[in-house]
Formats: sequence, structure tokens, C-alpha cells
Amino acid sequence: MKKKLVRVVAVFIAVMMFTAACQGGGSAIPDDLVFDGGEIVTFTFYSEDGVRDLPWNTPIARRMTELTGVALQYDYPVGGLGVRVPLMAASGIYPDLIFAKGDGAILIEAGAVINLAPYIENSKYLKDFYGDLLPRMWHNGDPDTIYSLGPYAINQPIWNVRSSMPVQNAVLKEFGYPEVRTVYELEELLRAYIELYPTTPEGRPVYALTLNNADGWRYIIDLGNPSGFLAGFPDNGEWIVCNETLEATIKYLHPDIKEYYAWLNKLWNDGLLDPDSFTQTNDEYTAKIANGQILATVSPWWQFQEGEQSLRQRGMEDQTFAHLPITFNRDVMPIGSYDPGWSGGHGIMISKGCSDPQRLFDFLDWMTSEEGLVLRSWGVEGLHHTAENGVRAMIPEVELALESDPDYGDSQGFSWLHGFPEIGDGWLDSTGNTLTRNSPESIIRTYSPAARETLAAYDATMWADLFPPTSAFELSPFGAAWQVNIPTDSEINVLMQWVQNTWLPQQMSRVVMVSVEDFDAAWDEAIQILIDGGVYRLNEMFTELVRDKARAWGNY
Amino acid sequence: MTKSAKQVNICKKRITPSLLNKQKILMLMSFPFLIWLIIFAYVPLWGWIMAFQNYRPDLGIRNSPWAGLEHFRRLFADQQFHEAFRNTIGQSLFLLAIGFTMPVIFALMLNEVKYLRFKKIAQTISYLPHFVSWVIVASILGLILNTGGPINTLLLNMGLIERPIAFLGVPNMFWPLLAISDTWKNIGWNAIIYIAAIASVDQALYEAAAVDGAGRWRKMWHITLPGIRTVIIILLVLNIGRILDIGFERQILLGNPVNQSHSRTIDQYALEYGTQMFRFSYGTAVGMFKSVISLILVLAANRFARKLDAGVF
Repeated sequence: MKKKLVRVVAVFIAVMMFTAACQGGGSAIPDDLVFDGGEIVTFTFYSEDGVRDLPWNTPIARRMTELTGVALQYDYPVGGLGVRVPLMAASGIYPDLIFAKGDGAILIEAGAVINLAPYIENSKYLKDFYGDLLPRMWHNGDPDTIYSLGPYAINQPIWNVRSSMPVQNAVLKEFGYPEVRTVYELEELLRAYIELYPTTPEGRPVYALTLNNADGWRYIIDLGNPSGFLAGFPDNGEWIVCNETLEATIKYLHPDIKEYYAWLNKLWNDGLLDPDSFTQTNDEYTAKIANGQILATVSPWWQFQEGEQSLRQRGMEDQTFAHLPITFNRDVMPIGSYDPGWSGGHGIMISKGCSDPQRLFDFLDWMTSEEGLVLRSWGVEGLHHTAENGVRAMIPEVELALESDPDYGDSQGFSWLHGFPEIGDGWLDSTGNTLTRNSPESIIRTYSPAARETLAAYDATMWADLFPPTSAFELSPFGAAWQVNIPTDSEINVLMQWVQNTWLPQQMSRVVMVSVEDFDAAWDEAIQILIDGGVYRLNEMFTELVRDKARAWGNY
Repeated sequence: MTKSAKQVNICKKRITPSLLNKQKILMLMSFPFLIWLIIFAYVPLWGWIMAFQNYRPDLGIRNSPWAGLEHFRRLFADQQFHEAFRNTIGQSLFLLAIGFTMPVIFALMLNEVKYLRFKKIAQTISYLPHFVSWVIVASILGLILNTGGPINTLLLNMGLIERPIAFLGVPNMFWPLLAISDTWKNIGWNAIIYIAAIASVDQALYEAAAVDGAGRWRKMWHITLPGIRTVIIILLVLNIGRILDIGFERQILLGNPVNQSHSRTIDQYALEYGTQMFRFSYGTAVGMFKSVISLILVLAANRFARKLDAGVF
């Protein structure tokens, strides 16, 4: 009996060790991939934005291998602590392909990535793909050094305009779609709605607003960003930048920013702000959105998207969000359609550890070919889209699933767009069809019935119709301030880390939660801490970086 | 443990060739552990050099430029570090106060239970949470403590509070919450060693005390507690040495922007303001400072314990 037990335990341990050894990170590459032109090469790929495994066995991934002979093994940060890249740099062991976003600077400094400029010079597609925008990827303005391929879509028209403060369609419907332009007008509606419906039909409490604040870095999004957006400042991270002088100021020093926190403070004390705002996890936040408990939100679409998809999946269309041009006062423009211009920034890099950089680069190059772009956006012909009489169209069920099923995109492989070079919507290929599946019509098709009802009531067909056009804004001479690279080994980086990850979450949470009478004193104290911490020096140093960037863009 | 046996232990043996010869097998057996210790505890000390450099991974320790005491200067000037240091000490003291004493009390009480079956069940149930990962404990705590959770519901229904309290959102509550949850998790596990120690207390002493008319409390106070005194003091010394080693796992899992001012520990600070920002030298300086303070704490605690005749070394 005892002997048997020992044997069982031994086998168990052996199996555990074996599986542990096999799991290098991400799931295994399936062995039934097809490629006619020789051997299939596997490269490892680390994405800082990854939240779950993306196995290389989706229809789109398989098709990519079929066409190129390359397979990618996905790896992503666990716990979201941002330690992976520094550890890579410290250990010197790199994945082949890296999408490290802001941490890319670390890898460049550590000499971990290869110079792509010579590869781009000889590329089939990439050089033309970026065209005039190529100088924006130069490292420190040097035309012979390009370390990363700029991420996010180039030449992107802003069709899919979203509000800085989306509100449930149900709220607008209840009161007969009144005109709402300011935060305060909206607040009145929310108060009245909660009077009528203090709980959801299942008995869960309803709140005017919740903040997704406590999970990792998310306070930057919900606690930091909306203060500027709702006051009419476009997204420059923690900064407000003057387009003429290019002077940058930490936004909290600007008098208009205080209004957001004073307003949150009022909501908090009136019990309209979800009391879990400062302690909940992202999952709890998503569940609240998905239960229809949150009437309005200040989160960006990618934050509440999962919750909204669940709402649609469960047929709670009225609880999805409407995008109205909301700001604190009527004199400022809502920034929904603002376009900072394509910024370059840190995208895909090839590491020194890659054994065959040319092969890998050719794969990236292919991704920007017509074939690659269409496959990544439209999916596989016959499975995801049809091409009858030369007209490419998404299969309606696929289009609906992409909008309403949170897992569908990943399961088919549509996620391979993110981080890689991407083209803007509306650009035509050689067949006269658009390269991406998005068009104003396709966007309208994705709107929920409730959204369409709301739009009809406001006499519009798209949310964009309610906002000023992109051309109403001044062109930014430097892009967006949050995309300005900060050297890692610098005083400015330390100060920035403190402002963004210590001062902002601690102090701004505190001022929201004090009593209304104490708010002004708490605010002044918080700003004093900011000033004592050396924020004026930070402003000066960052202004220089912004000017450098504007210079690289030829605007200073 | 009789008095004569103890005296033999104290007697120092002189090292002679014959003694070495006699113990060579024993020494051979301890050799692998010595090597293990050197590799994992002493060789890494080499890396402390980084604290005096502006270390860059591509240049390595050999070629990185020297910085002198610059990193320490910055460290002591940083308000964040002071806060992290305070939190580390504060959380540790709470953990010592609750997390260290409760298992002793628990063991004493369990020892008094005469119904064996209940005793065993209670012991098993109490040490099961030890095997639950902190990730799970943190989410359970989050659910229990959030504004719609059972504790708030209870307090609301009893009329003790008017509005639900987000307990994890109150900075001052973080230290006790951490200590209480840690105690809940580890009370049974930590009590095992005391229960074992109690079992080895000579039963004749209890019988003698009973003859003298001692009740339960007296027996506990005069026999059980002195009987396990050495164990308690040794564990206390070891625990004090680990005061700064409070880690960051629990703090990161239970922490949020609001209680950050009371949750961030030195280790977390070294991670967030060192490694994560690519400032390896700075992180090393933090770690080095921590180690030195820890060493001082261990030595001081041991000195104190020796006065009580129970030093570890």
C-alpha cells in the first residue's frame, strides 16, 4: 500500500515537472500548421498590453502561417506590475519580438533591440506604408536609427467619436431625450433617474458614476484623465501644453482642473458616486457596468467595453451607453473628435536575442502588405468576410459577434492587429475596397438598437454628428504629450513617477472623499504638496522634451 | 530537560584532531548545505557593488560608472522612502502584537480542550487557511469588506454606522486589517510548534501542581507557559529579525490608491522606485539598507533574549 502511494506521488511529481518545463510562457504552437514554402519558424512575442493568452491556433493565425511560414508564441505580463521589461533588461534574455510601449525606452537604453532602419530601407512594403511619417520614428532625430515600428493606425480618420462622459441610453429615454450639454445638466438627470430607480430589477444599487480606480494603474485613466477632458483639454496625459509656446504644465496646477474633483466630491458626499470607487478591482467594476448599475461613466471605451458587450449579450440594450458632447461648461469644445496626429511612439521591436531578424522583419513587412492588412482586419475570406463581385463585406453574424461577444475577437485571431503597424480606416486597396473593415456604415451597424433610437431622437445618424469635426481643432505641433519619451535614467522620470503613481492616487482620492466644506482646504494642501515636491522643475524639464519632439516634427 | 543535561550542552569542547576525525562524516554531510548557503546567501552580496554605481545592464558591474554614496543620499532625502519605512515598521509591529501572540494563546487554549476529537478538528480547520494563496485571501477579504459585503450589512443593520464604510479605503485601517487577516491565515499553522512544545512538558509537574491545589489557570501560568518559554523567545527573536522582511505580496494585493500611504513597504518601494523604473542601483541601495537594519535588529533581539537566558546564538 505504502509502496503504491510512493509510486503515485513520484509519477505525479514527474508529470508536474514535465508540464512546468514545457510551459515556457503562452500556449504551445499547434503542430498541424500548414506552410508549403519550407520549414515553419516560431518566434516569441511579448506584448505589454496582453491580458490573456492568444494561442496561435485561430483561423487568422493559421492563415498567416500558411502565407508566411511564421508562427508567434504569445507572452504577456502577469499581474500588470510592469516588472517584466526591466527584468528582461537585467537578465539579458529577450523574446524575439517585443511590444513594450513606454518601457521600450528601457530596452533601447539597455541595447536590447536592433536598429530597423537598414531593414526598412530595403523593405518591400513598410517604407511606402509609413511614407512621410517615417521621420516620426527616428530615434532622437537620427534618420539612420529606428528602433521600433510605430504602433496604432496611421492616417486614421476619427469616425468613431466617443463622449468624455457616456451615459446610459435608458436615462435619456426616461426623460424624453432632453438636450444635455454640461456635466451639471447631466447630473440633474442622473439624480432624477436614481429617485425613480434606486436599484436595478435584481435589487442591486444604482449609482450615477463609478471610478475604476484601485486596480493597478487605472487611477490614471478614471481619476486623472477626465479632469482635463471634461474641461475641454485634449488628451496630453498629466499635462496641459500651450501650442504656441510649447510650454508644458502639470495639469493640476491649472484652475479649470479643480472643477472635476469638486464635482466628484459633491457626488461622493451625496452618495451618488459608487462607494467602492476607490477599492474595487477591475472585475468588480466590469460586473457593475454589465449589471447596468452605473448610469454614466468617465472611463474610455476600452475600459467599459467588456461590460457593455455583456449588456448587449444579455439583451440589456437600454443600459448601453450614449455618447453626447458633455463638458463642464458650454464655452469649451468637447474633445471627442480631437486628433493629435500619428505620433510614432514605441511599437514593435526586434530584440538582439532573435536568431533570424531578417525572417522576422519580412513577416512584419508582410503584415503591412495589402494581403496582411486585409487578413488582419477582415479575417479569412469565406469564414469572416465575403468578396462577391469584387465587393468585400463582413459576414453579418461575424460583425455582430465582434461587437457583442467579448471573447469572439480573440478566438478568431482579430487581436493580431494590436501593437503591429496598422493602417487608418477608409484607405482603399487595389481592388477598390477599404483595407480595414471599418467604415461609417460599419460603425453605424455596430450601434445597439437603443443607441440608434437615441441618435434618431437627437436627429443624428452617428455620434460624430453631435460633435464638432476634427478640423475644428488646431493641429498639434508635437502630437500628444503622453507619447513624449521620458529618458529612464533621469530626474524627470523619478518626479513623473511620483506625480502620477503616488501623488495622483493618494491626494486626488483624498480630496474626493473629504466633506464638502473641507474640499477647498484639502485641495490647496494637495497642490502645496505637489509644489513642494518640485513640480515647477518638472514643468521646465518636460517643456524641453516637448520642444525636442516638436523640432523632430519640424514645428519648432 | 533536566539541569544536568543543560550544563553538558553548555560545556565547550576543544577542537582536536581526533574530534575532527570522529566527526568527519557529519561534516561531510553538512558540506552541501554550506555550499548552498555560500552560493545563495553570500555570492549575491557581490551585487551590492551596484549600490555604489550607476549600474547599466549593457555595461555590467565591471564597466558601470561609480556613483559613490549618491543613491543613499537620494534615498534618505526621499519622502516616499520615509513613508515606506514607517509602514514596514508599523505593519510589523501590528503583526508581532497580534500575529505572534494569538497562536500562543490559541495553543494554550487548545491544550486545555479535553475532548480529543474536537481538538483535532479545530486544529485542522485552523491551519487550513495557511495553504490558501494570498491572492485568494485578498479577493475574499475584498468581498467581505466592500460596501455591500457582510460586515457592512451587519454594522448597518445593527445601527452602528449610517453609511457603509469601504474598509480597504481607510488608510489608518490598513495595518490592523493586514495583521488580522494574516493572523487568521496563519494562526493554526504557527500554533503547531507551540502545541508540540506543550506536549513535551513533563506531565509529572501537572500532577504535582494538582496535588498542591493548583487550578487550570495556575497550571497554565506556572507550568505550561514557562515550559514553552524558550520556544516563544526563539521564535520572537527570529520574527524580530524578519521585521523588515515583510515583503510586498499582501500589500500589493490588498493595497489600492487610497491606502497606498499606509500599505507601501520598503520592498514594494524598492520594486516601484527601483527595478520598475530601471534604477537597479537605487533598488540595490534600498535592499542593502534594509539588510543592514535587519542585521542590527536580529543582534539586538538576541542580546535581549540572552539576558533572559534564551539566546539563539
